[in-house]
Amino acid sequence: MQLRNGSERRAGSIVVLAIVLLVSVVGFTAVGVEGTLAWITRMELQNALDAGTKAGATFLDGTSGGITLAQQNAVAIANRNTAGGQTLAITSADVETGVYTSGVGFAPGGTPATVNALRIVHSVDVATSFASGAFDTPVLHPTATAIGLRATVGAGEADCFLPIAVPQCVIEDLAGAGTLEDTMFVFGSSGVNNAAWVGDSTGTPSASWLQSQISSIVDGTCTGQTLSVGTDVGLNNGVVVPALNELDAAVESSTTTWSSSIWGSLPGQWSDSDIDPTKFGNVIEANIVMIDVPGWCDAGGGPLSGDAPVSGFVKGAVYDVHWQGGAAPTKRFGMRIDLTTVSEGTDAGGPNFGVVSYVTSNPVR
Amino acid sequence: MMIEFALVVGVFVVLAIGVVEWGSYLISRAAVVGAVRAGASMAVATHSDGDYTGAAIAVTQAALTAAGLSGSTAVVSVVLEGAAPSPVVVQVSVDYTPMVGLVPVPVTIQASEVMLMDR
Repeated sequence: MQLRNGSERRAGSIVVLAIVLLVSVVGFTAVGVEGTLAWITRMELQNALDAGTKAGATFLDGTSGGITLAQQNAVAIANRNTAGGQTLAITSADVETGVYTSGVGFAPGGTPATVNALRIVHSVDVATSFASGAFDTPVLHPTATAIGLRATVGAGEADCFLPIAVPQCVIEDLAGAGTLEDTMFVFGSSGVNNAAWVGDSTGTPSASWLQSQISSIVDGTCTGQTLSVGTDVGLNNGVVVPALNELDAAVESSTTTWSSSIWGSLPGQWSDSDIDPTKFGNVIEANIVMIDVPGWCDAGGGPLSGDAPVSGFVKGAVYDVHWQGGAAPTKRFGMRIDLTTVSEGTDAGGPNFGVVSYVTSNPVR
Repeated sequence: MMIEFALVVGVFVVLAIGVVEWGSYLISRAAVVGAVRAGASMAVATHSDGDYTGAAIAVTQAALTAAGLSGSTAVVSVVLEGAAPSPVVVQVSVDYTPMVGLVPVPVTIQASEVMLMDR
């Protein structure tokens, strides 16, 4: 038997050692690279889901139709993005609706009126090659979760406002048919009645104050007359003829004309309208005050009097007025409302409309 | 003995450089993904203020620069598909300079983000 010398033995051991180390180093490098690629894919997936839930949440308006729209838009926007170069295949069924409560989190379910958030949980497949042994799977499944929340923040306050109050439930009942609603508002203590004059503080607003407030909207001097959500304001659902006359004059003298790009097509003028036909088409665009009168709609309406808290604002365009006798309902005005501008500041549970300001993302598992 | 050592060291040095090179590239790619998201968010947040395109590009380029990339020369496009609330598409293409150059890595990093303009 011939013994090898020490140098030959060391040379052989270095080759073996080098092979073992090379395989190890290459393996760890592959794990690092492929793991990082999966991590970046997860980041992109998170971006896609965030964009989708944020987009969808803007459509949650307290109705079942809004939920359908929210899911459709969440899917459409999320799928416009890619993750790791892959197109996404999210479906409406992947978009959960539920109630998000601060400090509690997301709870799937809820009624259309209470649903305020969307959640999407989705994963994509990232194939591994070198690192499949280390991960013990040929495919990684980076998963992301996103929650889009319809914000409950509102306008808080309005600088200028038309001294007209509409119960919040009246506005809420309009939701669902479209974003612009053409409505006839009627003053009066009995019968058809869905609007009241409103002051900027408690107590019944006087006719002279209402007149000056209306004219300040038209001439632009209203700035600074702030009204905040939560403030108690006095109502008057009497006809207050001087104020209606002022409203009529304000529409006629307004330099703002009806914009069909904003408000859609101009409705026809009432046959008993008190607006000068040559001035029809002028409008007053202003914040309308929403008041919180719980149960008012459920009870079928009733007198709007006393004090009530301001619950938000909505933008409206007053275009027609009738106040001088004639056919019933006698004292009324026509206004188109943009429901996408409804904002509520301190809403405690009723629907909000079209107000979304932020999105939350859960940490990715 | 010296020959084996040289061979092994050579391979290990190339591997080490590869790890650093790809690590740097992947970090930059993650930064680009974050930058395009920041840009899209800015576009959505400022679309009612007028120059949302300029704001989005500025934020994206600033995020790239902060990550050590050449943000000022990055190509950032902000495209609104129709009037708001249509989707806004932000795309970024930025040059990536390898640290050593011994190991091949992509020299351009691209990313995009699609968000819906606030209604």
